Amino acid sequence: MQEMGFQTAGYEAEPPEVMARNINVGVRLLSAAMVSFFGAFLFAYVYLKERDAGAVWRPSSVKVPTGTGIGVLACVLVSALLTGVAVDALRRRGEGAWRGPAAISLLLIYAALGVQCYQWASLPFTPGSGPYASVFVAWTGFYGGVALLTSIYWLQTMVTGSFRTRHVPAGPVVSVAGAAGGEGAISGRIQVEARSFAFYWYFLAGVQVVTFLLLYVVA
Amino acid sequence: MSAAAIPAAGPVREPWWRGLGRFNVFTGIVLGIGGYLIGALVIGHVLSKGIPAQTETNQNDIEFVCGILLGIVGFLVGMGFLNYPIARLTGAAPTLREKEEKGIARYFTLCTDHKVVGIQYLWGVLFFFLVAGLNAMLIRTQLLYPTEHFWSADNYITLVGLHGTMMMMMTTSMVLGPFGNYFVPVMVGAKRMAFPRIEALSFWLLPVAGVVLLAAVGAKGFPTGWTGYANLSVQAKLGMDCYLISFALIGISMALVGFNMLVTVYTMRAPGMTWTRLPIFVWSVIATAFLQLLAAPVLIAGMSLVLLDRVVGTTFFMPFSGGSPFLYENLFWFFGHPEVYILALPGFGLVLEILPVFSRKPLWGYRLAVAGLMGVALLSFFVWQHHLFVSGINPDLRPFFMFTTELISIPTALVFLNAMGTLFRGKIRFSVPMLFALALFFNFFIGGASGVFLSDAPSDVSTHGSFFVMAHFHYTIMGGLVFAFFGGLFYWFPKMFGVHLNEKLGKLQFWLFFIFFNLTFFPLFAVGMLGQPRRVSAYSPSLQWLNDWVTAAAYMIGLSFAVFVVNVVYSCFFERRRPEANPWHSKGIEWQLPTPIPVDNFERVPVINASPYEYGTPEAPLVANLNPSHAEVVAAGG
Amino acid sequence: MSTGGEGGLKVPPELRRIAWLWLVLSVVATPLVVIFVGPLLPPGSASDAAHGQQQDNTVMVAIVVPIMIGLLLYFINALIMFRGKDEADALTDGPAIRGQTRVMVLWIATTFVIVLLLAAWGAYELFPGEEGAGGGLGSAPISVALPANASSALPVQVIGQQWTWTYRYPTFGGVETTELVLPVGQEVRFSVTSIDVIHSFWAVHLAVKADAVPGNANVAFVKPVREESSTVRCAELCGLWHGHMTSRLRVVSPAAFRAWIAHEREKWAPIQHYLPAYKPTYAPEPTYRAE
Ligand SMILES: [Cu+2]
Ligand SMILES: [Cu+2]
Repeated sequence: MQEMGFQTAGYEAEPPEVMARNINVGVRLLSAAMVSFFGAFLFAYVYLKERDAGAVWRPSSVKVPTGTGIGVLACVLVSALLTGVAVDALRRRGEGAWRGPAAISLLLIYAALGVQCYQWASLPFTPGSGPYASVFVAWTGFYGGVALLTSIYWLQTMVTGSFRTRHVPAGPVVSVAGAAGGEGAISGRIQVEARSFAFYWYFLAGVQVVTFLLLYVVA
Repeated sequence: MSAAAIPAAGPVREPWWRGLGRFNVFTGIVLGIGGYLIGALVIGHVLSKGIPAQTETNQNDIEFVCGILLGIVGFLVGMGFLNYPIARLTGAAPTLREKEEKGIARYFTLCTDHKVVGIQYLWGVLFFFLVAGLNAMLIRTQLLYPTEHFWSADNYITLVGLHGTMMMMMTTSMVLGPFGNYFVPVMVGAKRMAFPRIEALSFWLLPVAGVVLLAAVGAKGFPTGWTGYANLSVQAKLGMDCYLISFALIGISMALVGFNMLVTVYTMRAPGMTWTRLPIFVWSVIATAFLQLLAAPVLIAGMSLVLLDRVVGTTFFMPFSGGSPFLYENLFWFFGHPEVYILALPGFGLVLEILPVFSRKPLWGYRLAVAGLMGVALLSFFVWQHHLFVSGINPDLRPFFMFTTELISIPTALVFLNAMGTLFRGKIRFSVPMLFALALFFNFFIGGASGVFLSDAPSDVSTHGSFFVMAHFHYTIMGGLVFAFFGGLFYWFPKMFGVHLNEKLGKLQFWLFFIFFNLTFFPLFAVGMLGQPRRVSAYSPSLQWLNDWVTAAAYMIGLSFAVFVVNVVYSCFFERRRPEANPWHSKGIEWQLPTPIPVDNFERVPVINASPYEYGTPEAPLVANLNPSHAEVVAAGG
Repeated sequence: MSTGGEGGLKVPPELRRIAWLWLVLSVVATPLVVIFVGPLLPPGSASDAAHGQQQDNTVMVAIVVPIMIGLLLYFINALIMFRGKDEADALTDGPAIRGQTRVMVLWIATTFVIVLLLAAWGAYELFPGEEGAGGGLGSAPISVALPANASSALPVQVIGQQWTWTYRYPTFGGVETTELVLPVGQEVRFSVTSIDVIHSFWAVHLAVKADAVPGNANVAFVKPVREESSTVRCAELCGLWHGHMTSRLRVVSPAAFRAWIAHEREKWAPIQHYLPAYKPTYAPEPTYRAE
């Protein structure tokens, strides 16, 4: 623990490493909760599909909107990839190099949400057209409303914050005990947050892959 | 934006009504009502156009749900919950503090002081506990007669639903809310919770959920009890939406509390606070938090799916359109059984925290207690189908679920062993907290023993869905959690409020509660075995005398709570007995701090030197060194 | 960790008296409870399932009684013996005993054995052989869960709807009745379903309970062994008049049953053709929300 941790003159003087660890641990717990949450949809999918194979599950009139599905998947995957690139750039070359890929990654999440909204608006079936349609509407709805929106909020705050505080020198170098990887020291809050966000967003991209396989491929 | 809340120094005192314009509960309510009106009359109205199932019946769920959801958003905006996220979105630096000035007004605002949140929780939980308790009295009044006599079947079934749902919702926060928020940061040597705004949010969702649930009364009620089984819930009237939304809100609140507690304990322990020095209460909070974090999301999902069936027209639970009521039962009980232990575990932690203090002995078998709490938490994810033994779902799995359910009695029995070992050769004082703690073991034994009958699949055939089950879970939740809650309240009240609750009145409350609790619920085992199903407004006339007995005893439980209310008023406003710094001579770290605990808890980061249970070891150091030197901090691993 | 464990599992002097007391009381009380309380335990003995459950309950009571005596004795004894004598005791501590490994191991082993016994006994009772356990077995019970004479059982369909029970006898022309009448001594195969929401068919005296779930047929077996009449109730909250969802159940002699069913068939013959053909489950016309 750093010396600065003990002289808590002001309320804000939290040792930065504690803040970093909070975010680090928090994002893992958040992802665990998300597993439970989307696990419920997965259970509904499997349970209802197994109960009657084919006939009522997805009547032939219910067409799978594969095109837009691929669109959402592509946006999410490329965005996740760019998040990785951004974190890598951050570690090697600092915050300035992170900003660009992070901003594009953010735009792609917006794009994913946009495609998703278009898909809902042009859905070729109604929510009541059987269990498949029900699961489809609920699953994509909560993926868009929970996963995409929380990611957008988080990345947006980081990107905006980074652009706004461009002139401020980077924070003190501290070691992050809870951080993954063996690099040892990374600097400032943005590093920790960027890594934590990357963890969260990889995880959600994984959820999106599962979503795609179940809702569009297996259907 | 938080700066707006810090009162300007200087002689000019602004008029009180200026405060109403700032973000507080008043603006919250105003925006909440506004949000409801806009949601229902504008957004919902537009969205439901062209859907005859909604507009051409006398029940437009789309309008109602849009109204409630926007009303909730409005309330949270009015409370100021969006200020910080918006500021962050526009590039503001992260901060931790939000309105922690002194004064009574902070209890009605978004306040990030964990001690304020704890006290907010305490009064919030007590209020809703009182409301739900009154519901219970009304239910018992109906059951004085074997047919509908006082309330119509309609009102009765809503009363049952309100009582059950509100109790299940509020008791999830009963210990973690007030005592968890107030004492966990103190007990681990931290200055605050890890995410203070999330902490405030988790509280403010509670009154919102309570009000939304109560609104069901004005929306023709709901007929499903606290379990909300589909597809009855899909065909129910408007009030059902209130149940679904409020329970989902509590689910969110629960998940947030669990999340916050886990991060706090994991990352913010003071130097020297090793895992084996952690107070057992904190361990019970950890176990509960895991359950909340992982089980509550399933509840949120389940509630959302029913809401979608009602509002959007999906067919998850519609048996004749490819859906299945079994799906709901599985989702609900996958959450529902961990929920049972979300209610039980904090109670265990509390009494194990109290017992050493009043026996003046170390907690016997500390590691075993930890293992017991964690074991219960883990096992509780694998037992949910014991609620469905006669449902026809997976009957072949009944032996498995019977076995896992009975396995839970092993870690539970460990808690009993801890208590017995702790009492052994102690110097037991029968102060009010100790009485409540000891009573838990009596009640929980009966609850657990009746649970053996329920977990046994053949025997469950008769007891399932009867008053036997109802008596069983009242023995575990009321006899366990509520007794522990009052024990904790009498124990920590001097610390939280600087007032010692009157011991005589406390003992009167305890004995009334304990005796009449047993006189109420023990006969209900017989009532259930003799064939009275749960939640009925009419029953066999041959069971009337038993039911009348139970009702009379239940009124006496009500009286014991009245004694508690009198005690609080008398002690706080008339007797005003200032407690000593450490009235129970406890070794807990919280008693080393001044009363009231300052905003930052610790002036400097403390160093923990011992476990809080070093009774009988005179040479043991104080638990916390509140003023450590740098060398001591480094030595402690800081 | 172990401060007092050196002496092996010697009972500490404070506990010797109650250990003996416990032994004596348990040995005396448990058989008394089994002999005198057991036959009084619900759900009685009006059917094979009821009898089986009563036996089951007796076994569990017999297990619980000594545990309860032991805990009560320990706690009462400890609270009297170790109570603080005066004010000064509030400040003096007891000895710093932190745990004895042997006691813990013994305790865990004991509870584990009890749990294993309970689970094994419960599972054994589930696979009935001659006696049905009376619970819902789902729509396709595996053979091991069936009673021995399952193939010769009298099939009776139970249909729940808000808020009444009706019964169909497929081997008697699928006639539908409002009263449940069963011949004594005859294995019965209930097939329980619902046409609206979840109900639960509870023939209290027969110790049969099976959820009535729409779109699902839930099978339960029972053999009534005594002629008596009782009440069928609904054990799952199904809306407004859940408490009134009862019907009469009569167990009668085989001859009386044949007479009754013949009479019912005659009585309902004029409207029999309006009924849907007998099926395990029924999908009704779309139901709209009740107002
Ligand atoms: Cu359970
Ligand atoms: Cu019912």
